[in-house]
Amino acid sequence: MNRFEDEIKAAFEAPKPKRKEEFINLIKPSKMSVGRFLLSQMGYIRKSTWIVFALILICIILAPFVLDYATLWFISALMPILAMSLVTESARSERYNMAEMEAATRFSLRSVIMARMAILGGINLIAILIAAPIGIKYCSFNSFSSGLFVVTPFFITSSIGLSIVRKIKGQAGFYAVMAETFVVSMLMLLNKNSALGIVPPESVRLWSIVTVVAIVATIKQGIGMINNLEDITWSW
Amino acid sequence: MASFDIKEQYDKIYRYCYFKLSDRDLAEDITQETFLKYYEHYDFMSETKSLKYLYTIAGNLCIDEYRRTKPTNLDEDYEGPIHEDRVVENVSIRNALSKLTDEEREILLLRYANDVQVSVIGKIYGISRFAVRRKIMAAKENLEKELRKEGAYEQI
Repeated sequence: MNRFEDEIKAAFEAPKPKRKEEFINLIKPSKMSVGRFLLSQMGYIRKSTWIVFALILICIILAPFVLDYATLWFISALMPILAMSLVTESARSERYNMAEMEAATRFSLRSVIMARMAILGGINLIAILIAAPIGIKYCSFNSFSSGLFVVTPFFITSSIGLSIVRKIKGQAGFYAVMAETFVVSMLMLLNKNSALGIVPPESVRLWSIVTVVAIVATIKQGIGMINNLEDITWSW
Repeated sequence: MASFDIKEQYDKIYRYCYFKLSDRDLAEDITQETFLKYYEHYDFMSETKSLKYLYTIAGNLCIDEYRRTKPTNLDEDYEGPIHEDRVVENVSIRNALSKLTDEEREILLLRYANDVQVSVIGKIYGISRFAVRRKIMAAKENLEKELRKEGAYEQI
């Protein structure tokens, strides 16, 4: 600050407030707990997302009665759809060009998106925890391999999906994620037959590497997406 | 969950209200009402957003108060600046400031007296950082012109 700016500051010197300490000691800011905040945000997740989640859950539970030993690959093929709901819901503001408007609400857009991701991540985890034991029970592979077949498509779809919605804005990004989901789903169904599958089910090491890479990529993309949210405030 | 230091912001909001209302007690009442309203509604906010809301609430409350009771000049009980050697300069600057527009005065107060970041000022007014910088420059130039008219600029 130069001397002129110092003088401007001095000219705005106000008399000392009389009741400051008294007020600060009295005031107890109402603090909203993280749980209450998450609960409040749950209501803003679209009904279609909950319906997709419920349908997937019903399919997972009913699959063993209809498909028997193909259950594991059917569940694997459903996982990308679960991931798609997470990705598209997280990028909803961008898809409808609502980010700027949502940024003007009482909560920061960053906290809202983080809450949305946490809620959807939580319900997806529940779905995976239900799906994995069912898949493991109805297949000839060991528990670890079967678990990988359930988890991997979810993280592959979410990592690529998040990267797509960060690069392609609006409706086009949504369609690209749908296409990606379809491809990953189909690949999982093809894996049922070892000869057609791109990654053979027997190659546990390769599946493990792919899973770890996909998890790391998902976390990286998720963090990148949240960090980029503040940039939208710049405008002319 | 406030993302700012209430003790520091209390003084700044109070100063903001004081220069809008020119009444010490009224300014303090509005400052306290601002914080009460803020804590009633806002949580999980970044610092930038919290400051924007604080100044917006304070500004609106000051406008309401201004409409109810049109305030006069600055308080009679105001002791003025602490350093005696700066009294003359401050009187001149205050005179010059009173000739600026309300917006110019407010923007100088926010930027130099309250140390509010340019990006936050932009959010308060709903304009870009570039536009804020331009407004600050224009306000400073006008202030300088007024001071030159009074022959007080050279003393600074």
